[in-house]
Amino acid sequence: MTEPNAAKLLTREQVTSAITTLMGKLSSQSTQIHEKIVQDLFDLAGQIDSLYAELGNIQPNNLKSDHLKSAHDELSAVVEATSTATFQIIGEMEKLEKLAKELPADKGPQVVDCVTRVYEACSFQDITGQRITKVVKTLKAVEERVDALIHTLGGTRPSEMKDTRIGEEALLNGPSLPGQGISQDEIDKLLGF
Amino acid sequence: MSVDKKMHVLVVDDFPTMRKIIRNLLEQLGFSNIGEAENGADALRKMREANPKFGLVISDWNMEPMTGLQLLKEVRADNGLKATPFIMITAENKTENVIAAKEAGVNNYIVKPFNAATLKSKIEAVLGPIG
Repeated sequence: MTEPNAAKLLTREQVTSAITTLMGKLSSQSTQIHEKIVQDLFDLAGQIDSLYAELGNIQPNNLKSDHLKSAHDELSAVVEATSTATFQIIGEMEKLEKLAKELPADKGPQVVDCVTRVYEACSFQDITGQRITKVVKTLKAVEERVDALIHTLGGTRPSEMKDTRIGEEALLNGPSLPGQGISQDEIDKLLGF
Repeated sequence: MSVDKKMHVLVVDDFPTMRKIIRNLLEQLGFSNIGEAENGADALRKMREANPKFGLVISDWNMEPMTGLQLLKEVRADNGLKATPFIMITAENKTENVIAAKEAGVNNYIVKPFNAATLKSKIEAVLGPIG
């Protein structure tokens, strides 16, 4: 089985160790060229160390956590919800179209024309669905890259990111995804209606 | 000579909503024998099994496991199906897409979103006046 790209990268410790070993070997030489190489390697080691420190400060674990998954799930829910609504709109239009046949000759065709315009407009769902699907794929790609970064830096996935909001602000979470939240019936029961 | 509205038409799209829209628009044009498939592979199977054969295929492009373009190529390579009129109806509107479809033997190409008048005119361009 092929190792993921991230697994081929050296860890911070491995890079530092490799350069230090190389520098040790070169330090035993006394020529001017070797001194220059040693200095360059010292600079390189410093830069690599800074790079790792900066990457560490990005806190990829926080980025990874629930943010990306949540965005992915929310967008998928948008596609699902618009698809369901559009299907329902079309279903109702079909009923209108049938009823239009019972209307007087001067009214029926006008209603059918209106229904046709609605059918045409409903094709938006296919276009927006495809666009959102593209965004979802991009998010998945970002998620994979972040995973690779976490792996390279020797981190582990956090189980969940803590929501630090308090009070009323913590109540603002937008519509729940399917299967989450409670139904109108459950709300009515909860409120005693 | 006008189009035989009794001909069997196959609508191929992975979005059920879009299949329903195209079906309804075709019914408004007078077509009554309309089949549906949810991807290229499903369409190819239905085309091979169909009796009588489909007289027109209206297919989306971006589908899995078989795209509309792959379906078109399979149809053109199949001796029993190769003459089937094929209209691509897709959101893929780049020049290279249209060229690829043309090279594969598409009869016409409709870009989404589209309207009823465009669908009618493209079908007429392929089959003749609908009447």
